[in-house]
Amino acid sequence: MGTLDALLQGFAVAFTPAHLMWSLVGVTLGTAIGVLPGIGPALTIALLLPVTYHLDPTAAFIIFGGIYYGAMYGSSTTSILLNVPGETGSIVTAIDGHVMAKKGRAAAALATAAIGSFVAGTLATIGLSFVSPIMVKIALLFGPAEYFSLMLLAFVTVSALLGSSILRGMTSLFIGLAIGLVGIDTQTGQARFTFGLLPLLDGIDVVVVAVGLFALGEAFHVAFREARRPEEISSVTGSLWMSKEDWSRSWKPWLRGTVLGFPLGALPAGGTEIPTFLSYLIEKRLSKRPQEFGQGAIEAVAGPEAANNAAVAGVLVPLLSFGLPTSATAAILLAAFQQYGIQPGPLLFTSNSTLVWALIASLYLGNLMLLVLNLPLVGLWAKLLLIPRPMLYGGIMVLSMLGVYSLKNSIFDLWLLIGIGGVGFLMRQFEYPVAPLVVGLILGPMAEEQFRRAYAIAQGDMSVFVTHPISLLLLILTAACVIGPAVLRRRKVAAA
Amino acid sequence: MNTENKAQRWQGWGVGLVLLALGAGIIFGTFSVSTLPGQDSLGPRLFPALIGGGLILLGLAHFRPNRASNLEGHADEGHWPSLAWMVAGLAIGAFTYKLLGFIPAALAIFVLTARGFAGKWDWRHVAVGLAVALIAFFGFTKGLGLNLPTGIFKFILGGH
Amino acid sequence: MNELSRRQVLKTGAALAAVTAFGIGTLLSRDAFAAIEQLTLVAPAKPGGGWDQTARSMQEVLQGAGIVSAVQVENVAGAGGTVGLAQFANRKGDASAVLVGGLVMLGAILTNKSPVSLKDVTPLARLTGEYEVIVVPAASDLKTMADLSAKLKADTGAVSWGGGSAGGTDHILAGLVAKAVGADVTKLNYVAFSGGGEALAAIVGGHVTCGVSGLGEFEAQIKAGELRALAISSPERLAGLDAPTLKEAGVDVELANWRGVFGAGELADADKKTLLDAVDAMVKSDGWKKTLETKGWMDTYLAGDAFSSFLGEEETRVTAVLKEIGLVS
Repeated sequence: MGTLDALLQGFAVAFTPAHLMWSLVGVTLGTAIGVLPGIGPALTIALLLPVTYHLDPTAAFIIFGGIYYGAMYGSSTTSILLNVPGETGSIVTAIDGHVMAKKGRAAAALATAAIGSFVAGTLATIGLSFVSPIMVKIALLFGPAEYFSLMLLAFVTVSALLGSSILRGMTSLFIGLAIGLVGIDTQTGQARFTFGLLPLLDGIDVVVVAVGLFALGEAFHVAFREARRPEEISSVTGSLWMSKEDWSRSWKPWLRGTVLGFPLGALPAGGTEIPTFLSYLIEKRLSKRPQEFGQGAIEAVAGPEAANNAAVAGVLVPLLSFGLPTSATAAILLAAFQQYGIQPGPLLFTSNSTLVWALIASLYLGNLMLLVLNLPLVGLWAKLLLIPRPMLYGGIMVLSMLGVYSLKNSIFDLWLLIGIGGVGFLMRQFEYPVAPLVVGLILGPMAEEQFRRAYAIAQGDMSVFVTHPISLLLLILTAACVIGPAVLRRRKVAAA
Repeated sequence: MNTENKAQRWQGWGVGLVLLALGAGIIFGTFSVSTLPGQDSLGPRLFPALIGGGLILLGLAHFRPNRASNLEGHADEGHWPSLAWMVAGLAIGAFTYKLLGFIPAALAIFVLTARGFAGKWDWRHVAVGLAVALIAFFGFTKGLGLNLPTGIFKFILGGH
Repeated sequence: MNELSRRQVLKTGAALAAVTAFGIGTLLSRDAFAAIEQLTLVAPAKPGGGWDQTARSMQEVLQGAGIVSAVQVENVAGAGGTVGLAQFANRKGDASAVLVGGLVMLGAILTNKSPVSLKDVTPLARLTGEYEVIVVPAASDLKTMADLSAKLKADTGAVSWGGGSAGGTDHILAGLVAKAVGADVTKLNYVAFSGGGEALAAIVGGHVTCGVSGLGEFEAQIKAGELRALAISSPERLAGLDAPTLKEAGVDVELANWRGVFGAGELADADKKTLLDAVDAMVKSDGWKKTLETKGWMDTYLAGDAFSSFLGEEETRVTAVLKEIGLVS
């Protein structure tokens, strides 16, 4: 009833020439900053707040919405082409996406990422428009015990990333867990493994590690192994566009990614990474060709890309319908609302409905604009790989160093980046997969935090993990994911 | 084949030793994390101890025979000079980032990386590198208001 | 956007050329009579946080009111502000930069065992503050602060507190309250959450017994009836909030999450006076008053020696409570 009318009214506001132009500005800027690791939408919007203060609120939020959605697009582009994940949500994309690019399928990877992002972004925005209040109620049921069980489920992803040897994969995972220990312990404020170094107190940022392992480690490897070999000009071979097979292999992962990403993004401690992990896991388990995962499977790009964009929309659910900022970007948007004297919170939809609906309408618009901008550019982007190697890698190195520096304006992080690049190089030489390390680094600290919170709240009663129904359900799912494949395999063997 | 297997076994032992050292270091370090009479009965030590223990087990597993047998092995020797140029470029870049400013640092990173990959100096790398550095600098400082070190150009560009 | 930035480049370029080439730039510029030419505001946090917002608001007002000709904000984030503080402490005697800081930094210096403390910088002024509010979910059977106090005293560990990072303002207040009601502070069950949203969700969702944070974080949910405010840490009741002060509720605690500015260490007296005058002029300007209003910050202006002695008292109190909570040995 009212919702649809309000949305249409929102479209009427968003579809004025001026607002269309602002949306274009926003998505362009968002794409540009998404390319840079270390500079995310939160930082960009914070830096723009003083400038946009002079605009009317609707225009400002249209820009912010564009930046927010655009960042994910830009970040997947660099993940696929350059192996530089611009945001943590597209780390998973880099795993198979970059292999596809190296095999000359960059255009297909970029296209499935762009269309998947569009599909997921649009569906999730529809979800945002119509089911927000219910979503928030469900999200609030999640406490530390539920989150811990969710983390355990996400950890199963590692099994899909192990590569040829369990030992090597687990080694990589544990190194990631060990790196995650560095920094202040959140529950007691005590420093752990910081060696008295001040810059280590906040821990080692995932972006530094991901860029170091993926971008620098890969570049070192290519320099060491292949620099003297003639370049195989692979980026033009193969179809420039998605083939029929690509489409049929992509559409289901898009939808599954959306279904995963949107609710998990709406969880106050969900974030954009966990949905991408789970999407990768599910796609590999459901695929008829699991052996292709890690070797450039298109599902492994389509699913996680849809998941991260849906999660990005999901984050707006608690913000708009409850005034609950659950990510750095959401917190900045909240500050922006306050700057305009708008009281964010449970009453936002009723008290400032025109603005909220204009924002939501502009999200649809920005999403469409991003697709229109990105699809024709796919071929052009893919040609980026035709740049001669010396300059291509020169550019990647400058980009990586700039992005990591901007994270905290810290020279220390630059040295850390080079060191982690060295670790990535060695891991590649000795054929240890690097992806489990990143999973360990992201999930390890979160899992510890949630476990200890749950433990403290329950005053040491460990049964909370099985007495809370949602937590129990997640644990059963986790067990099924671990044991399931083995049972299935045995049954197949028995049947044969 | 035989020598390769031997080399791989050494490699496995090497990694095993590193993991043992890392695990032991973490367990040792765990004891230097202060635990004070706080509310959180689990304290900040449990997880490091678990992770350290896991690393030690993984390290030991690397000493089991045959575990490294499915390595592909690389056909040819790696090329150290290319790598050295790159690392030198990044190190000089990190070192001069604040000292000389973003533009010279980025130029050094670009040119030395390109030198490593190309195997020879090329003036075009300098030209493109300078363009990349300038576009990145002005794009992000003026367009977005980011702080990038101006270094030796402080007197023209202002800032710090 | 592009047009704007190009204009900016041209404008700054022209101004700088004027300054360097002719040395008469200041005469041409609008702020010819500004007391200070250049000032860097160091915000020891990422863009968007409280300290960053303070710095950016100061930037606007200082420039807008013509107190300083050119102000820039530099973000040096990390470890509760101690990374920025350590870097700032190296600028001994440098009057061209000012550090933004506050109560959280005071706590972080202690918990992080920071080698640099506020003794290495020159306190200039306290500017703003925000009071802390203690809340419970609407469905909670704790109706008043007295109920909470009683429960806390009876079984301290059974009351789980949700709030911001360990050792921060929220944690400090929880400790002070527990101490004031005569509970066993070492058993304080404080659950630290990283972001405001995460803590808020845990509180509204009823996953913790009660929550504590700056009023701004909870205001909207209190107004919407999702949360019940039990007490506020201000000296007097606040307009628009239906909750007693802690003192009225029988808990003798007062706490404000204050923010202020610091000059470099070993500052010359004349330089210190220049900076103090600039801050004073800023606080008295209309622009600053407007900023306080839109941001919902309390004016807690306290400058010079008075601020220094306040800092000393605050440090003693915070150290004592952090020791009792068990965060500092």
